[in-house]
Amino acid sequence: MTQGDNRIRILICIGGGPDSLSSLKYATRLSNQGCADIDLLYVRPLDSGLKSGGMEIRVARENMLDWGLELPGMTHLKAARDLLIELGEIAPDSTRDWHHRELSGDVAGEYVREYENPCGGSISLRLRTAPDVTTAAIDEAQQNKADIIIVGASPEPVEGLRKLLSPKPLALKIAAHSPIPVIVARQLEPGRGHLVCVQDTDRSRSMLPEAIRCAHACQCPVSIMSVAPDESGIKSAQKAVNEAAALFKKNGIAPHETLVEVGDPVETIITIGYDFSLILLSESEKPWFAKGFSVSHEVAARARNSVMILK
Amino acid sequence: MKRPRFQLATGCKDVYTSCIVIHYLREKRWFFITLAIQAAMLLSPAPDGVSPEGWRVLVMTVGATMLFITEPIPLPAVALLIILGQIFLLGIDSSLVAKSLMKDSVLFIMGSLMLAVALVKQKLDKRLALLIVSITGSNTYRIAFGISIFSGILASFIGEHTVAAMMLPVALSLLQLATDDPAKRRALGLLFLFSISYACAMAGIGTPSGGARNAIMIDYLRDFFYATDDPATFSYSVTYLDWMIYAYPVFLVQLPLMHLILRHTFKTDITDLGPAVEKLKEQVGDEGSLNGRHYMAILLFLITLIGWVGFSSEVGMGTIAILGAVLFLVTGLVRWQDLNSGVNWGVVLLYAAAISLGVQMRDTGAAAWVAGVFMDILAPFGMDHGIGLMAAVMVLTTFITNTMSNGAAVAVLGPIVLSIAVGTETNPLAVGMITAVSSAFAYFTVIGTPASTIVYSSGLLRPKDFMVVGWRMALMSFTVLLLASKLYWPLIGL
Repeated sequence: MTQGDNRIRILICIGGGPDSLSSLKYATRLSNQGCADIDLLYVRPLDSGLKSGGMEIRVARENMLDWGLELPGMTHLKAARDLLIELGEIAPDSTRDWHHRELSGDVAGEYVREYENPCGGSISLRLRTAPDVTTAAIDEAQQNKADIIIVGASPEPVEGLRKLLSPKPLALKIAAHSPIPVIVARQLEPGRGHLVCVQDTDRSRSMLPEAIRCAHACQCPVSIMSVAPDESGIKSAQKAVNEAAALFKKNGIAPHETLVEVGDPVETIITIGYDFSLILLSESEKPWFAKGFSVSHEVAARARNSVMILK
Repeated sequence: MKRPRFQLATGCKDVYTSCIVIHYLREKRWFFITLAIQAAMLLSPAPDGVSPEGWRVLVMTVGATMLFITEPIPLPAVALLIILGQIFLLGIDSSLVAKSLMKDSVLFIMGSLMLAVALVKQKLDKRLALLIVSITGSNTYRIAFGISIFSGILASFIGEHTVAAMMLPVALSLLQLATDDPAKRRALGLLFLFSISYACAMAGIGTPSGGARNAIMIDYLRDFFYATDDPATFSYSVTYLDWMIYAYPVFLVQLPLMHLILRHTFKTDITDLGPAVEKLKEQVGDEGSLNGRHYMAILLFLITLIGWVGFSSEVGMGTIAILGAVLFLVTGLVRWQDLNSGVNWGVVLLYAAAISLGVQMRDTGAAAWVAGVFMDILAPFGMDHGIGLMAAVMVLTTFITNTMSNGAAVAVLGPIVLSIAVGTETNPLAVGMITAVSSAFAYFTVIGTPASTIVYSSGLLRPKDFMVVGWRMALMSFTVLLLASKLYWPLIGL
């Protein structure tokens, strides 16, 4: 598929949860400003082999198709498509067939259905099977040269003992492993602005062009904040905020406000960030297995609203 | 103006090499952890009471079990590693290893999987749906019970994956026709889909052809205890009918209790499916009545069933299963391409390798050593004999079967529990039956039984749902099986 140089390509992982569907409104907002390409992906873990006792699940799937039933995942993708029709991204009368794809050799598991949006961008519904959902989502993003991955998180962050016992949520796994920006979506409504969290570090400065591009695409009000862990860090925090604000202004966006706070970075960002649509943070410099202990990934895990980790 | 694309993370710029390596390591992490554990075990001295060969077999068994559960590499690769391990670690001649792979139970698994695919391809499920609703009427709970009874009785003979694959569209069609409300549809789905999966799982114990695990246990009992020149050991050559007499009543008692538990756990507002049933009748009615092809398929299956009941003790259950599959192929009722793509041949190889490893566990004394360790743990609780021992074996099997397929659980546990039986002078047949039957109690996880995996593939169930109802089912099944082993089996001389 050809892709315009300026067009953002967004991959939204549809896992059946309400937050992945509500994030469609945000994607539509980006699309309205910059004519985005939107890929909706549903990944189902492989379920054959020993788990199915030696009979391939595809036998059951082919039987379902023979009855005229939809494969699992198609229902979720169709719900997303219906929402995009409501939002005006897909013409109500457009119908497309499912085309089989051969990614992992599952003859009854992988399909794609493609539409065009009014500005000429593409919208595709993708069904995929894979042994590991995280890797498949990232692979799909890489294959289709996505710029952002949006993945719905659980509405209530897991805390306490349950956090230790539960497997790491899919959204956080994708955020930790993805080489491209990831939005961990919770009630992702576009109207309440972006909170860009900065530090006086090269890593933080390097993510600012992406934050600016995101603000341009969304046309959302932007606030810039830096949190100093104690009084001695205020000067550095102020410097980071000033530099970021200057760069935003230079690129045609006047920040709505600039904030310098003192306190625990995670708690402060979560508390102040709750009033915004999206909290933007730069990726941690820690290796992938230690990212859970970084400020950005801890905010993504514990915030009650959406967090974007810029890479 | 051309805008820049988003930047990639440091370390992932331009090429994704480092990310690919990270993803590979992440996907394969359990493989490397398994290798590390195996290396540590091999480098440490063998514990007292186990021979160096036995210790190496245990190292292989621990590794194979971890790989069965976590599946970081393709399962056929695990099977091939077991074969290589026997040659290189145990020093067994490759021809002997090759010979130990193919047993009647492996032929049975191969043949019954081909039969399963052949039967699903006959599209008899639509007629079955019509038959169920014509008997049960339109009451939701009666339909759920009807689905359980039909699924259970069929699964006890033709295997749970066959029935689950056939009944899944029946249930989904009824759900689709019943309501458009996602919440109501899910509530109804829980009732119907669990009626299929749990009935199939429970029924799998009913006859030897119900599941691979039964055939594996029959092979172990024969291999370990049967001697052609000793009439006292003839009871360890369990025939198809023997097995049915031991296990079928246990399944029949559980079936209505299972329905009551499901009915109590998953209540639904839709108590009458009249309109949905009518639409289903219309849909299925368009298919017309049974034709010659269908009658032939039913006839061939009945011939296979008669073969299992009447002749399997002479020629082996595997031979009959292969014969059935061949008849389906020769009559053109199924294409080889369908069998080839529908059967996971790697799993057949895996079962063969697991059984071969089980035999090595017995021959090297590794199984007896593990059994001794297990008994030492149980002795302080007074569970090293009698009903306590039965309960302990049942709990152990239930735990293992919830983490891997029930066939693999029996293949791994069989030699150990039979050694426990010998060590405690308990009837090995009873302990073997307890193990095979309780391997059906995989109610807590999606991967426990093939039927659960198949209904889960509908996308309507969540892993948590299995836990919600699973403990009730397990409690009921534990009670029924313990009562059977205490009251019923002694009556029939087991």
